[in-house]
Amino acid sequence: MDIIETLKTLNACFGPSGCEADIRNKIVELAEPFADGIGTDIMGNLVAVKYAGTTRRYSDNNMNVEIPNAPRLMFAAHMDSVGLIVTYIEENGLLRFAAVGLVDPAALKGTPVRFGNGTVGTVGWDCGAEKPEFDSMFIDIGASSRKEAEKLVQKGDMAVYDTPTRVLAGDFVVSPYLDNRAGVAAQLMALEMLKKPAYCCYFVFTVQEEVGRRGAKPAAFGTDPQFGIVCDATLTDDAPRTKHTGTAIPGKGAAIKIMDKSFICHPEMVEALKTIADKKKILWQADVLQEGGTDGAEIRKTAGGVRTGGVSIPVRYVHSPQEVCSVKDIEAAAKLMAAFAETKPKF
Amino acid sequence: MDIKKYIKLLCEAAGPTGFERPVARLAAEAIAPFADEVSIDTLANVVAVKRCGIPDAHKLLLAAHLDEVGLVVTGHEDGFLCVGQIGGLDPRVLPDRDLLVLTDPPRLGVVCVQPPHVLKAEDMSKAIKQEDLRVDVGLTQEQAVREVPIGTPVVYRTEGFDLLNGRYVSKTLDDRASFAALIRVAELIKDKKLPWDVYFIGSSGEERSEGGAPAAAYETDADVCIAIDVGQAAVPDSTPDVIADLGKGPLLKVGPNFTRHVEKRLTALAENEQIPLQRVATPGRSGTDAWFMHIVKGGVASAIVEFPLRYMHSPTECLDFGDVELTARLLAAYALDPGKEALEC
Repeated sequence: MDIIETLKTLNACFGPSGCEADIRNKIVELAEPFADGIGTDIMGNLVAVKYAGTTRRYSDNNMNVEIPNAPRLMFAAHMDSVGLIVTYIEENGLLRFAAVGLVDPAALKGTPVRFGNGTVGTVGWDCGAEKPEFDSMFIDIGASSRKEAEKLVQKGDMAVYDTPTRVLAGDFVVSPYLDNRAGVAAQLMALEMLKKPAYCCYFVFTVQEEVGRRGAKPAAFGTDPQFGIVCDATLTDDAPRTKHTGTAIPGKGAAIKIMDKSFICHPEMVEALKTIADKKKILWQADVLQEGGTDGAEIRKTAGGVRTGGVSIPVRYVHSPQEVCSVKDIEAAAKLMAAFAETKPKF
Repeated sequence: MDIKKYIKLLCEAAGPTGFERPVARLAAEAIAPFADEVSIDTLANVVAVKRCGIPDAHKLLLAAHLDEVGLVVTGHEDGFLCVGQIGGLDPRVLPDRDLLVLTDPPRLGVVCVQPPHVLKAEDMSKAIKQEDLRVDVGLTQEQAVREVPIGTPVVYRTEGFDLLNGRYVSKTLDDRASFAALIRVAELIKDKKLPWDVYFIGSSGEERSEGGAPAAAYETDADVCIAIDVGQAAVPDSTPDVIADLGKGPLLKVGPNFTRHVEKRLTALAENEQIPLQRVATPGRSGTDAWFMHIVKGGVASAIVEFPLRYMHSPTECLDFGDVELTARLLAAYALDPGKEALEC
């Protein structure tokens, strides 16, 4: 799989929290050739399954197929992104908006955006405002009246950053929504690499992570796993004057999650991931994150509890229109997840 | 139906979060003539069902919460009661209020405040803080400790009254007026042929926690959940993001946590029935029962329909009867004709 091409393809899709249909359809296309079955649940979570041994079809109404003698492993990468939502349309055609998920208004000035129907615009601001705040910003789609604007955009419609995916020096890329298209790419690559799974593997592409980890819980209810691995972006520790709230550094390998603000990984999962990475000579680093949560927190609490760990990808400038990460880290994460899925559990 | 009768009956009853059962009994009794079965569950949810007669039918769940915001006694000081909050109320509305202290039998109380004559100039412009509020029930310290134990709930005490043009003021219109709307829905669909079973839930615990609604959604195994609640209506000093107006019809929340096919169907039905609909963008947590019902089990298709309300969580909330009636008609239309997607999921 060409990671950069995949990132470009995913970046061209529309998928803010709650409106994931477009990106989901694209992931179905990319995952289908490598999965034994694929389906979507009520929330919109996409589940691609790869069985250990016998092949059985996974379909929409068949969430709980039992595969004898193989433990169930759920991978989760959220496919939704943060976004902007139109709250009010001014007389003069400018669109007032609020953030879907956590967005720093300071990063928005002059950002090109696009709506689900292809309408494009830019984020403008009130020149008199003292500091950047959503209240003093608007989306300009070029409409000169409310009537004209309403032909293209309604209240409640969402927009995403319309910035491109570009290759930087070394193995680095810049793109919006590497949180978590990087994780989605890694999971797709792991699915492609996986030849002899030791588990019944569910590769879940979850919805609504950015608005409070809403998709993972029902997805875990549906797949009923015994093991969970969350694949998400993590914050980095290499910016000038870092406060060391995270530990991961882009380019230094797959980041094995030890904890984030939402949960502490199961120690046996952490150990198993480290051992497998060493054995397969996959570059890895520890991911200890004091801010930000992931889907792992929800998977862990399912039913009687799920052994849950994580493989993260360090991403700079998270939730901004220009996030940066290393392609090599995505590759390492994919290899580590595939290797884990091919190794029989010791516990 | 005289909906005001039901609104008055339910809203003037006392039942803060965690102490809803007396209100649940009233609500169950009120909806019983329009339902096939009525019960009150462990968490004090009212569960009323209108059956369609189809075996293994799909299920629609309509939930309006019956609990209300209030106060709770946290201590005693010289016979005055110290109070904490149940749910989110604004301590600035409390000074000089008469309150109902829910001992058995209930007793009246009044919130203490300094008269303007003795206030220092610099204190005149300051709002009193929650921790400085005391409630006077006319007792000595010894009596207060004995007769009003710590943990006793306290609620607003307002008799509802009409304003002009079909507007009505009362406490707890949030959200018992919505349950009254559900009784109206039950009346509208009573003798109609239904495509699915319709559950009317008077939920508990909404103001404080995940509440009773998700438990009801779990227990009933609902296919579509709609929370019926109240939305902020614009008042003279509203911020620009409060865009809904009183008297202009129900609000449909749109945003990440609502299921597209339900939202689309409600929009289409409103257009058919010529019900004006106010769309309100909701970027994240909705602050209603739907937030939790949506992710019960493997996920449940969800939406929120509200009617506009002024002065939410105050003792004098204000609604427009027209909005309540239109909300009920929209929900009845959906209950009767939810479209293919809802009945296939």
